[in-house]
Amino acid sequence: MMKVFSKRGYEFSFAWIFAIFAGAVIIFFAIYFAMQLVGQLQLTRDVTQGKSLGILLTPIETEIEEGKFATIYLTDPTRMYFECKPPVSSNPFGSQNLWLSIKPPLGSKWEPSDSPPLTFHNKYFFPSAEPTENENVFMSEGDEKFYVLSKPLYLPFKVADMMILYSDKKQYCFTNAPLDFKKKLQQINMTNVFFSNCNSNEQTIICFEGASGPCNITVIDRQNKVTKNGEPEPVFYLESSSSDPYAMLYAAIFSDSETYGCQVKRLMAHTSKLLDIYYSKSERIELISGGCSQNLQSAIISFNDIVSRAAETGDLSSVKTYLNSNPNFLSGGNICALF
Amino acid sequence: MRSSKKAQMKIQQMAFMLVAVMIFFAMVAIVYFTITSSKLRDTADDLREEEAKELARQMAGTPELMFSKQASPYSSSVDFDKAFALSKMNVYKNKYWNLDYLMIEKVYPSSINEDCTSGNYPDCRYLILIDNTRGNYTGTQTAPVAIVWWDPKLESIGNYRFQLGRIHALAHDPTK
Repeated sequence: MMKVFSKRGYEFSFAWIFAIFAGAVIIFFAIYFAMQLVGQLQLTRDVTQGKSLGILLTPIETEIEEGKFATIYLTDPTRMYFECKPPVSSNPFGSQNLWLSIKPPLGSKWEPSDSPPLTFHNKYFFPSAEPTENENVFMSEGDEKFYVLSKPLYLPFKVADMMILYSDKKQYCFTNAPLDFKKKLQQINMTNVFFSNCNSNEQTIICFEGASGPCNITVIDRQNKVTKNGEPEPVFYLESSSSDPYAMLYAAIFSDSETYGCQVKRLMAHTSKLLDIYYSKSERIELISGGCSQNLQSAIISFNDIVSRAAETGDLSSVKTYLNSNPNFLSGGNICALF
Repeated sequence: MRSSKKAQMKIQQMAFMLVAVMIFFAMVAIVYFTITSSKLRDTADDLREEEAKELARQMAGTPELMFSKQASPYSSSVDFDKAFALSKMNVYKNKYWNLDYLMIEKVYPSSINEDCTSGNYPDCRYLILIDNTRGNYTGTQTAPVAIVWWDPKLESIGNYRFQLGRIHALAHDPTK
């Protein structure tokens, strides 16, 4: 005899099917909303930390100081993403975009933040950063700290503060650096910057003329030229007219060539706008004081033409030639000094 | 028949319970999001105020407003003549400093209580560089500053005159 119905069989009632189905739907939505919430919280953290960092960088800018060095302490490992946009007619100063991405908890994948970038038109970052998959975007990763060196650029009036950023994962060693250069950096007591016992495995080695041994970056200061291993073209810098002439050299050494070239264009565009302001000021003083700053107006116009061209091409040679051959312009005028 | 009715009752009970649980969680979520969003708004306002404060303090060192380092190497002052020239330039009015309002006020010695224009400059008190506020100045931060301008009445051909001033700054409101 065959048994048709087993008495041991389990009755799978409608109530059970309904409970399992409803439970699955609830758990699915709970997990989905929890993930969305975590994503939102992560995004909020990235944006607020990024904004705080932007605010924090303002007091690091100089007033009349020769430079400032600051340490930014982080609570979690953080990646900073930088993008420089060169000046165009709709964005005459160019712009600097910055994103922060804080390492997510629980070992989830660390991806670039979806947060909108912080955009600055008046800041110039020269980060020690690596290229990313996105064109023109560079990334710097720090465990606990980021370091910021702020140096003003004078051409011959103050143009901007150049902010050189590097993380605690980077170390730099300078060999055969000129005494004056060494003194300027040692004065501000920079962290992770060395001048002796260079170790090519852990440090980026910067060689000045006459240095021997392995070099990642070579500086020829007679030609104002910086060459980096693995980058096809050298970059050039101008000497700042302030007491620290090396402001632009630091930027050229620490940042990648692409960012440096873009920031140079932005700096030149900014110089051009500042010259417009100085020209207006000069006109006003001339009008009310009987020609006091007259000698500088033609110099301002000529220099403005040169820097406007440099803002388009990024070529600094004509700017350098002009500054070296016009001592009257560098002095800013004798009696009623413009700058 | 009796067991079918009992099962239906159980399903109804479970359905009501599930709806009640869902409503409870939805209410908890609403309360949570309300608190979080109000906290976020407070954080945004705090950051905005902080930004304006820092910018107001630092304004005397910005290249656009800074008085010549060569002429005044030991102090940082705002060049009122440069500021006046800047007030005419539209490129600075839109998000250059991320400010909705920027004004320089002459405090001492006191000047005529008027906004600066081409007609009355420099005998005026308030020089407005940026004003995108539509009349709402809440959250404006101020910082004292030395201001300097070329006074043709000083000495024979004129000279720079220093005065006490104040910078007023209001950070850009991202919700606008």
